[in-house]
Parts: sequence; structure tokens; C-alpha cells
Amino acid sequence: MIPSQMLKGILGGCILTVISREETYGYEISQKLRQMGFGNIAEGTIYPLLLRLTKNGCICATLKASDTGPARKYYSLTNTGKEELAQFQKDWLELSTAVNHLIGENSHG
Amino acid sequence: MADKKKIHALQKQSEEAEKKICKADNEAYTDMIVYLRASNLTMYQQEQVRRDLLEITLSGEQRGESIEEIFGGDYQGVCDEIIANFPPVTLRDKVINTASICLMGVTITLLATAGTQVVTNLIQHKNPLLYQFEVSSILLFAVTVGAAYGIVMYICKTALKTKAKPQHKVRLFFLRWLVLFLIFSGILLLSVYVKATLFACNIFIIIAAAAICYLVHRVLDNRTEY
Repeated sequence: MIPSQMLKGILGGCILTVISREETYGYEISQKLRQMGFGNIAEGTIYPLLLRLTKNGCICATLKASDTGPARKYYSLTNTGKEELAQFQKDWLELSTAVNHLIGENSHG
Repeated sequence: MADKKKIHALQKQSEEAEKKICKADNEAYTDMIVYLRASNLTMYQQEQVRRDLLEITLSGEQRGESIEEIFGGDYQGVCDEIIANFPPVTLRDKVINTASICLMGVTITLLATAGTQVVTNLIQHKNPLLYQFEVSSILLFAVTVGAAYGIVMYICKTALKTKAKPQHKVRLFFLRWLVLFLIFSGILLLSVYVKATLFACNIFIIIAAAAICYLVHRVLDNRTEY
């Protein structure tokens, strides 16, 4: 399981990646992340992150009727979100390359 | 700015849907909402978050999850993160909101004291339209409003604190009762012993003052960010 502190810094970018594929909602995001190997991320812990991404203008929410009662929020990427996602992917590539280099050096040395 | 109609509509929807929450999850859900009430979120933001948390809780329950699984167990952490994602209320809004609440309190106090004064005057065969404003009325108002605000804030802020151990529960119970006893004793002593009259006037002046306070409250209320 990925430590939560390590996950904290990249979860926003990962959520943007999931939303970029199709309009989706909180639970579906948590399930997709689980399928990708992120472990069990409770839907309730994703909600504050979705609020932050909405506040920053990266995603926008549309309310759609749900069979459980209150309307459910479906999220989609905005143009700002697309830019943010591109930046995240670039940053991640840089970071992962550096970390992989470091780990590779250690295992070979 | 959201109007009150929108807020009431959201409140009504949530109240109806909250009946569907299962008993085991209801306490934790309610504690989260109570905790959010003490935050700087506007009324409209609180109701929007309430609707979202409710939807998350109900759909989780429908999948057979408990509220602990839905929110990962750290309710306060989730709520604090939610609060942090909203812009803080400006000083101007805080002042307007506080003034608006105080003026409503003054209106109620003036009308209530005017009502009791008429009855007292009639019983004591005095001029029923004579209003004597006592120092104790101001002190009573301050103590009552302060105590009410303090109690509400205490309940909201501690809603998500880890529940006390059984031996601490008894101590906490007595401590709370002691605080309430001191507050109410204070109120009682003030009303009995502080009898100095600040001013006396016709009761219609008080009713007019109450009406002005109410009007200013309404004006400020319309300027309050909900």
C-alpha cells in the first residue's frame, strides 16, 4: 500500500487524469484508482480534493439526479484542468526519472 | 450571493434525505455536520457540503459500506480539509453578520422586557405604559447571548473529538453541569440584585426602538453573505 503522505502530493494529479478520460463522480474515481493499484482510497477522503480542484478551476461539477436521494456531482475537466494535468504529467516524468535513476544506481552500486 | 430561498430549498431536501441514513451511521454523520456549523463557511456553502456528504453517505450505505469505510474513519480530518478549501470570511462580512445577529437579539430583548413590564405594571397597579430599563436587563442580555454562543460553539467544536473514557465521562458530566449552574446562577443573581434603573420612558418609545433595530437587522441581513 502506498503511504498516505507520499500519495498526498500526487493524488490531485491522479484524479485529474481519471477525470480527463470521462465525466465521472467520487466513488467511480476511487474505484478506478483502486484498480490501478493505489489501494483503498475512501470516497469521503477524495471529496475535499475534488472541492480544491473545483475551487482552483481545474474541474467543474454538474449535478445529476441519483436514485439514492440527493443529486450526485459529476466532474469534468476544464481548460485550466487540462493545462494543470499536462504540467503534472511533465513534473511526474521528471520526478520518476530522477527517483528511478537514484534507485537504479543504488541497486547496481 | 445565495438567497435564503436557495438555502431553505437545500435544507428541506437534505432533511428529507437524512431520514434514509441508517441508525449506526447517523451519529458520525450528524457530528460532521455539527462540526461544519462552527466553521467560517457561509450558510449556503454549509448546505452545499451537507448535500454532498449526504449523497456520499447514502450511496455508500447502498453499496453496503459503513460510514467509517466511506470516510476512512478520520471524520475531523476530512471536515478540516473541506473547510480549508473555502475562502475565509472577510472581516466586513463577520462584522455585518455579528451586528445583524446582535440587533435581532436586542429587538427580542426589548419586546420581551416591554411585555413583562406591562404585566408587572398592571399587577403592581402602576402606569402600564411606563417602561423602566434596568441595568440588569443589559447584563442579562450580555450573559444570555454570551452563554448561548459559548455553549453552541463548544458543542460544535467538540462534536468530532474522540469520545471520553467512562471514568472521564462522569467528571465531564459534572463539569458541564457546574458551568451551566454558574451561568444560570449568575443570570438569576443579576435579575434579583441589580435593580438600578438606567432610564424610564413610555413603552411605545421602546417598541419604536425595537422596530428600528429590526429594520436595521433586516438591512444588514440582506447584505450578509449567505
